[in-house]
Amino acid sequence: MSDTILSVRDLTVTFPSEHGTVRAVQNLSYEVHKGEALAIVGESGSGKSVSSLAVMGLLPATASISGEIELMGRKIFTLDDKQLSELRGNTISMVFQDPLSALTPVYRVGDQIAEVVRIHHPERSAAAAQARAVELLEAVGIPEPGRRAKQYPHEFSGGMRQRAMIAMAIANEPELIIADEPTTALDVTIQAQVMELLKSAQELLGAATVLITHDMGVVAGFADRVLVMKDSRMVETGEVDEIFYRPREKYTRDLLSAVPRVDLAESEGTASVAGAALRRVAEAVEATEPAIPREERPAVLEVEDLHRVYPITKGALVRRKVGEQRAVDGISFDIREGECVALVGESGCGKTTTLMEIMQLRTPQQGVIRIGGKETGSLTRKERQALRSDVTIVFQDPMAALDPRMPIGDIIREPMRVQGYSAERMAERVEWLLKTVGLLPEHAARYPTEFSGGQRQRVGVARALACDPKLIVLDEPTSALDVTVQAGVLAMLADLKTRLGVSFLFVSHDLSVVRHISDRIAVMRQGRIVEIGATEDVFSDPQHEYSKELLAAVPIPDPVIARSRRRMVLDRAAFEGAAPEDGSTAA
Amino acid sequence: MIRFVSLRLLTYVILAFVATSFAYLLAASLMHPEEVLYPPIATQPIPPATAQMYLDVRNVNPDTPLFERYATWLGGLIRGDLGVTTGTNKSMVPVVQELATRIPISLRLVVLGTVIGTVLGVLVGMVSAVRRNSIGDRVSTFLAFVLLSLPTPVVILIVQQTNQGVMDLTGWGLPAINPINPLLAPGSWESISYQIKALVMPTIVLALFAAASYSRYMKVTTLDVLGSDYLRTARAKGLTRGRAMTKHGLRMALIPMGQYFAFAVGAAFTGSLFVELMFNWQGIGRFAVSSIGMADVNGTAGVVLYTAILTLLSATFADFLQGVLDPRIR
Repeated sequence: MSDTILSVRDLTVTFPSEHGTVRAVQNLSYEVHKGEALAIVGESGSGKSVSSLAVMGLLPATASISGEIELMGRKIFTLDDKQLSELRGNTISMVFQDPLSALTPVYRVGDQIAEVVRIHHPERSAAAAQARAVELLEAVGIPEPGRRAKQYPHEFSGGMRQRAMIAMAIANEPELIIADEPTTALDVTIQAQVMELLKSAQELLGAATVLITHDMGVVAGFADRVLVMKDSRMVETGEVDEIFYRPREKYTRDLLSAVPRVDLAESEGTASVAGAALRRVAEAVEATEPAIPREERPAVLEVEDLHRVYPITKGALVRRKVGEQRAVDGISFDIREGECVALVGESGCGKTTTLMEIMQLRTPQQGVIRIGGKETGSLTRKERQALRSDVTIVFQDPMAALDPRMPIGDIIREPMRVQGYSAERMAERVEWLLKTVGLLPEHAARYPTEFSGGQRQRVGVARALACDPKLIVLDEPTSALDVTVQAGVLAMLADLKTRLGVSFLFVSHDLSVVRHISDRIAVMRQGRIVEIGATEDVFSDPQHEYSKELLAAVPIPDPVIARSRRRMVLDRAAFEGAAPEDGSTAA
Repeated sequence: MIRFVSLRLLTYVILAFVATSFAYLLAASLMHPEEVLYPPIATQPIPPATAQMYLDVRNVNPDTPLFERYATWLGGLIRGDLGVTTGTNKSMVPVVQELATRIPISLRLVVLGTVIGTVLGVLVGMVSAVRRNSIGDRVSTFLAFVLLSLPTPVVILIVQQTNQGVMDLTGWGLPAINPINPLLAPGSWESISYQIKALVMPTIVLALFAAASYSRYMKVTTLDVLGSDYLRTARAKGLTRGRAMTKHGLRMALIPMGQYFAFAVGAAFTGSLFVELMFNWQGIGRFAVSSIGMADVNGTAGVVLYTAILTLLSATFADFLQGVLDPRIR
């Protein structure tokens, strides 16, 4: 076809490693046409990022590549670094995953954008390139672009940095934009803005786009075609509606059904497969609602008017207070027995500080924390230590939360040893705990590195369960996991809640995840709870402005619904501001 | 800004004062110049009054309490007088004068050696990181470890013998010892060119040591940078491998190096001890060794004051360098 921008044929990429050759991509073939948006979807390790780096010619030298990649009729494996450099940033550009590290910290943002202009248009003056950088920043919706261009990356927020990256990517009006997980590191409201910006940039330039993501929700509103990858191979490819409504392969179906849906109530009527697996979790949670109403059940945790203020100090010798950061600013909530309360908010809203205040079991700066009716400030050392077994925590990163030099049996045994359990009882419990979280008792002798991320998180849950806690604090327990794994862990947690009657405080940034598991939701913003209520009520009828904003920003894994929610955000006038100037410099 | 600089200066003055005071108190309480002043072979007994005066004038009288001697010394320090040489050096040269003649000789060696060594180390480290596992990387890594594991005198001997070998073969070589040829008229071109030629070998030795350790640090920081996202972004923008490295990578890799630079001058001073001894340079390093050897209390304290100021200056320079390289800490 004449309008084929990129064609990848039979691409295979392998890396040598200590355990033999690692096949990162095998026999991958696809084409991207002019103006088309292709989404490559897959879980971690599926080879989606490697395949796109191969297109850019940016794979490390150790990779061995076979197959063929043709960009605008040029076979890129036959080009040398200099020829490839002429294509990169000009014909093909890329937006990377982590905007915090993707910009060089020591150069001004404006200079970095101007640089990409001048690399490919050396005839433009430095001043003209700077002016273009300001226009581009304005086009991607950065306020006060003139001042912002003179700032360094660390003065930008994550979302603004990603906007700057997009400005860089569209600077030379490329034919192909590759976006590698462009919103994974961003908050959900920022994610929505960035995805809309990318979409409108693509439509404005008429550029072909390859979106690489693990998030089916993002795909639905963005892509024309979808390519699903698993274990370095392509599973299925097709039009976006076809993939979402009529997936042919089992894996695609599994992937879709594992996606949590924020619009659960409405989702039953739609044709999309997405969310099917978690709907069952939610139904299980709802079906086993205990007969006793929550007001009559004893409270496990009560937080009243909790404050945590960090002073901002200046000066090295004489420290003086110049201000304060109100991390937690007077929040109150309670958790009843057998209840799951979700604490939801974006990064920096004070979720983690709240958790730490609760986990410390000390007198807070201001306010009261009661666990099982006991005030934490009144505890003696001994009581506090005993209480540690009643309130346990599961951490976000299962890779970092388990000591790599301890077999998992010992990891689970440790809290029991602290509480003085007998050896037989510990052995018995370890076996039971491993079975309860869906692992095998004979796994006890293995080390954490021998397990996958989801299994490690199960070990973390088993450790938290070790001493029959009353309350488990879950700090973003699934945000480091793939969606299919996440669905499994969520199902296990829901099952534990109903079977063991343990209460959860589930902290998350992701509304669609807590949708399925929590009984009540507290929405946090800037250290305050702006809304708290039963899950159903918050989702169907959010009261606070911010809750509405959050809900509206969550991507919906249904192409029809997602498309209806889109808006145009790229400032066309600002982007085209340089058009006459282009003509004058060319003439 | 003025506030920041003046605060910084004040801290440095305090630090230099504390370091020198410690050195003086240690030297004054541990060294006993009075013992070496009267060798047992003295033919005539010295009148006690003369002996007392002799000790008092040098401020080393053991009968005066330590803190009184310290106070006297401090009084001199404020007037810019560091006392006179003591111990077996009976010539009573003011320490300030001694330092003034020796510092220019030492400083050119230390500064040149550090600068050349640093630049060389940064270049070698960067190239060996970028071309990892190449022959060049392996050879430079091997050489760096050989150098770091050899004692300084051995390296000096190797350099001197190489020069001697060249001289034997071709009849032309660098002056083996002495920084200045006293036979040549001072200020004349012959004298200056002799000084430059004499500087070559000691500088090579110091630069080699600095380069050896710097190349190791630099290789590590460059490897960090090579795997970074922003370098990938730079290449995705259309910079070639080399240009992305020099424009974006080098500066980032240099930032952590700035802090090592604070120690470099101190290390170069230590290196210069042996260099000055074995090349017969009348510099500070040699003075330091001999002062300690002949129980020269004032001389030792003077040397410490000099090295303290030198170290603080290099620390300031390192901070300044970091500020220039890294806008985040400005």
